[in-house]
Amino acid sequence: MKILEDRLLIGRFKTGDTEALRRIYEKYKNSLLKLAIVLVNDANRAEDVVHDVFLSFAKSIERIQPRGNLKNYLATSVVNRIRSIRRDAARHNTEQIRDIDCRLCDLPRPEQWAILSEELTLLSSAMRELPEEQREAVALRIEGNMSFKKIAEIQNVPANTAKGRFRYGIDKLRSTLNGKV
Amino acid sequence: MNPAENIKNQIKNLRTQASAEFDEKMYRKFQQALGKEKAYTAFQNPNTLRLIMHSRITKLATAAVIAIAAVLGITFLGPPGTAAYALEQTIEAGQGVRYLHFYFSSLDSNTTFKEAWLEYDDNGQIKNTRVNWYNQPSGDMVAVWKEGRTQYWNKKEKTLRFFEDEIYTKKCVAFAKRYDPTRTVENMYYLERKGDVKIEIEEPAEKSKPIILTCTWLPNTFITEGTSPQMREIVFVDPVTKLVTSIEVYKLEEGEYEACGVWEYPDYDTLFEPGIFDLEEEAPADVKRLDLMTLDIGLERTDLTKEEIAVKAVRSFLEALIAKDYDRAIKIYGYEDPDDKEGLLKRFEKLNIVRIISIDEPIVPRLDARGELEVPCKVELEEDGQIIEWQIDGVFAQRVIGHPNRWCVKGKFEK
Repeated sequence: MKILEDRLLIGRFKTGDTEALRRIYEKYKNSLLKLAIVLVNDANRAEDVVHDVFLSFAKSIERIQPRGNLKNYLATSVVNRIRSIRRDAARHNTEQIRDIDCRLCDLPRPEQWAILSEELTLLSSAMRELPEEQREAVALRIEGNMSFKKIAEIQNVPANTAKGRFRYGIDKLRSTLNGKV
Repeated sequence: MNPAENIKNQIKNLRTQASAEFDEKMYRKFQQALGKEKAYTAFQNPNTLRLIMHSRITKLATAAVIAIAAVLGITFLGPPGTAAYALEQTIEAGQGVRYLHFYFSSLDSNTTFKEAWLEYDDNGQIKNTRVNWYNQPSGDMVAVWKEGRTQYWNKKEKTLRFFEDEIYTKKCVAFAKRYDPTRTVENMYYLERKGDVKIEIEEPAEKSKPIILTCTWLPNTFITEGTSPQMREIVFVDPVTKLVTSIEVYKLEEGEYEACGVWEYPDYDTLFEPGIFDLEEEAPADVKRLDLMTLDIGLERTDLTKEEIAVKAVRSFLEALIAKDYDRAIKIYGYEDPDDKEGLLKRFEKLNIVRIISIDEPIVPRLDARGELEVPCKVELEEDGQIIEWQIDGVFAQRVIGHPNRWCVKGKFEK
């Protein structure tokens, strides 16, 4: 019903209404967690990413205009945060790259807060087999509900390239999962 | 379904759920980030936030509706699919509400955000109103209307204006009537009978979903003064309390409805903080206080019509400029801060107007509720020894605030 709800929530949060931030968090936390999980293939890392994204959003609310698409904004922030972590890791320690891309633990650790279904674990592992660009295109299209034009903007490629990455990614996922989800 | 669609749907349907521990961690971080104790309270206890149905008044109002319904023989608890809702239920549910707090978010190019508080007296008459404007191009502003006197605080300018203006008072009362959702529905109810508004009611079969009223306003019926295009309001009504929860506003532009903004009503009958209607106390000491009632500006309207005084004010102003009588020009132009007179003098001294070529019939600006009139005018100007024609853009005439029988001139007058 609330086609304008996000703009209203941003406007309210800008005025210091913390309840508005809570509502934004509640509204998008699960979809962002899923997006981050399929991108980093690790529930703990995904939570860290979502944590950073929301915290950064809360701190930079003054600069955010209420007229954009909030879900797209947050999803793009997740992608950017993951890229930034990868860049930092690449600079400091090549081992950490593997750590970021590590396979999902078979058993959730006690501190692992996100509750994962078996299917999501399988999907996350299958996503790991995709090249990073295809993984992003698939995740942003399916989890972020983004247009190819928007994905192309984020990836800085023509829209047809983004479309191609998505198609190849889906084909590969289908063959990897082979009816497992 | 093709295999690609199939895998997409399978992926889409996978769910994950942030745990309570993760939520707790986030709430703590938000609290630290915002540096507010109250933030944590709000995050920690979302369920303790006031719910409309927990309001004593609402319960009483709802009980009253049921009682009235019983007397009138209205069946609310009929079989599924029965059109049980009627506008009267919302009107009844809102009776007796003393305090109303709401928000408005506009979606025009200068996205603004408004927050308002209304207080009624024991007889249901407007007692006090307060409106905060945020994200305004000209800075945040606050207007309080309290027992006929208006306080107007421009935070960017650091000014606080005071005035008593009968027309402004009427507008404040009209604002309250217009945007108090109960009164809005009541107003629509009567306007529908007059034929000015068309209302369609959509009551979803699923009882937890809101009742939706689609109200279409004929051109020039949406605002109390001035013109407006055809407008549409989508009113969302809580199916349990029958109180309005939000209103989306659209205007008809080139055959399509374009979103203008949304009103949201989260609080019915929550007591306001003391002093919310006293800006003199709230505004810091370095905010300049301006009492508009003491100013001697504008031109007397006498018995002229609005159009006649608008033309006269503009003509007199231009004549004063031609005569280089800047005191008179500044008086007709008007000001709210006497310290602005020097800046006006510098601006007007640069204009070397030598002759009025024409002053045309005033025009009522579109979608404007301030009652001002645009006065097209053309003059001759001497510039670098040459005489040139100048069609002056954006010349307006309007009432002087606080002095309803005087009119002044507005416009940039910059070439």
